[in-house]
Amino acid sequence: MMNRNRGLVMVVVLAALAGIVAGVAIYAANQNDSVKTSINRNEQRRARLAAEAGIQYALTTLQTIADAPQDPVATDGDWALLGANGADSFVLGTESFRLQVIDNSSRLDLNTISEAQLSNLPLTQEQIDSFLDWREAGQNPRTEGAKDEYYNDLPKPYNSREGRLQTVSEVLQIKGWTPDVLYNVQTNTVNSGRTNNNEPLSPIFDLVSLDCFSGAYNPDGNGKTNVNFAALTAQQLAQNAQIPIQNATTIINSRNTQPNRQFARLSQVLSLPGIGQNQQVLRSVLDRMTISPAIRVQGFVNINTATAEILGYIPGITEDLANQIVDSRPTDGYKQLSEILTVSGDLTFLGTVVDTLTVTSQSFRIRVVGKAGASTVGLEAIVTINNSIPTVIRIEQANFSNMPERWTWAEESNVTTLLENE
Amino acid sequence: MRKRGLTLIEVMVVSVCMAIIIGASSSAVFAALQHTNKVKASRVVYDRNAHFEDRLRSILQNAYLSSVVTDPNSYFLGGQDVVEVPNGVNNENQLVFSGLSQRIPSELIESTDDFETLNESYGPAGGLVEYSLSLSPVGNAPVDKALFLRRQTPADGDPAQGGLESILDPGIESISYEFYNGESWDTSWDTTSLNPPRLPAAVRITYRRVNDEVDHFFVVRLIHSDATSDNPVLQEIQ
Repeated sequence: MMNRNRGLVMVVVLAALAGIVAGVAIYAANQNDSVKTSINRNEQRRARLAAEAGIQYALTTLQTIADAPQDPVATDGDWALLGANGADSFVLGTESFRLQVIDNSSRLDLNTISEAQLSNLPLTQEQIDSFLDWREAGQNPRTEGAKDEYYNDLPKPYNSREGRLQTVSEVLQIKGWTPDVLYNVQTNTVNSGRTNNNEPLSPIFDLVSLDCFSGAYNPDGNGKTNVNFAALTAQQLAQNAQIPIQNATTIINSRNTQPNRQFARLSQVLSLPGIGQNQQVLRSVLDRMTISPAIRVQGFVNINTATAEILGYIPGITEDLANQIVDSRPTDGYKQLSEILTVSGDLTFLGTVVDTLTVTSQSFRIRVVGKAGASTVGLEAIVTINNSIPTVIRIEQANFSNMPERWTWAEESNVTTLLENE
Repeated sequence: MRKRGLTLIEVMVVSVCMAIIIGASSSAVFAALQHTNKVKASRVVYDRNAHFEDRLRSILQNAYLSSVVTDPNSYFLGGQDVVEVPNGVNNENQLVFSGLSQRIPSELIESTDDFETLNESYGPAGGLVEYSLSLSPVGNAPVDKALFLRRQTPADGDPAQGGLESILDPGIESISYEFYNGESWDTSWDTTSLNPPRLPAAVRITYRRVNDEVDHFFVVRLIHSDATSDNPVLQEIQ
């Protein structure tokens, strides 16, 4: 009887204790939830700030290029080695970022891309026609293209741009351009010039860009000679471009017979009598002449940073030539465009080279992933060099959560750089 | 040996101890539950504000001006009555600006539907978007007053209307914006009167909720602005 009573007391005490513990547990769980929510939100913002810090960090290495815009830009530069293709971590207190800088001029510029270049990409005629119609003024569509009449008739209507594209994703507004075409590898290569290639192709999104600027400098570090400059005499051209006077006279005389007394393409100069046969003159056309007054040109692809895939999409460059350009590339890059003569001296090929390729770059893409706790934020910044200062012109949030994979970043290494306050 | 029962003192000590334990624990549990409810309520308020601020921040961070300085589809207008809204509130503070599109939804990227089907189900995507924040709706809305977000893809150069309107937050009583020009805070911003058009360095947003007695404010830095203290944006004061 006595033992029973003692047991009862025990039960009552245990029950009371259980009640207390349950109360405390509910309270703690609630607190935990609340703390977790605010930690998540906080981490998301810190990760974004870390990514933005990464962009600022990369800008400092791009200053070297801004200081010497006439120098060739190749993949041995400090900017290209920074972060070891996304493998290294840079630590800022409790946050970190990984980054990679790539040359924006290693891609095709959507605002200058030609119909012939588009035809080499895995695109249908409808996509090509509609793209060109979107970029050009006027209301007469191409055979498979579209103008306002088509877009105004869509279930969710709008007008076509008829001007420069502002972002790459703008192509999603163009007839026939679905996100699948832009972001995923296209296996349908009906229109591609690379049908017999077995390598995996890149999605269009990774082949194109906007604001691909590069410099037009001669080997002395000065601006190239603009053969379209109306007041340029044969004598001045001979002197500036270091060519015999008779070749200079041929060029100037031919220019004066062109529409508006202007060459439309520099390759026209190459086909003039006596130019293509003389190596010295040929070099001079490649390295010292241009057809526009600008020191900064748009839409030229840098042969020092472009992949063979991109080069192969340029009409006039076969897959073999593209591979040769990449294979013969010196570690520190081609210094001058004329060094491509070692790859081929064919005049048709050189005509393509002179109007589409370059060895410098004035615009870059900074890819960065900021990390705080379990949160990551991926950003991509387009940087152009303006008045000798690398300037961010656009920052876009990465569209996918697996950006390091899509950017084919190296495996995360153990190399960490601590960034501390000065 | 005869077993001894409990003495009165033992019973009393046990009873007192138990009374103390039960009393203290139940009051502790009661207090804890009460506190939990209070915390829950304040967390709801905090979360609602933080969620609202995060959404506004992520929209504002997209603010972007076209690289073509004369692009009629690109602007940043902010301040009192910058745009005529039908049935608009007097002296209303508004914000209308062009910006980059937000992330493309993954179901849209994965879809293999054709262009026209996608246009019908998702509407146009990508490119420059017009964002507008206003306390009065442009179209027909179930309520007269709330913070309305209007998004138009692509931006069409008409800051007064168009696109898709939704309620960003139904409980906003008042909202105002200030714009940091690199040196000081301006109460309005109009890129159409700036040559070249430039964005403010930051926007300070002050808002008050319905039945709330205090203002909340937060600052959003515009990442596409080039305004700094060395290079401020000096607007002409009208």
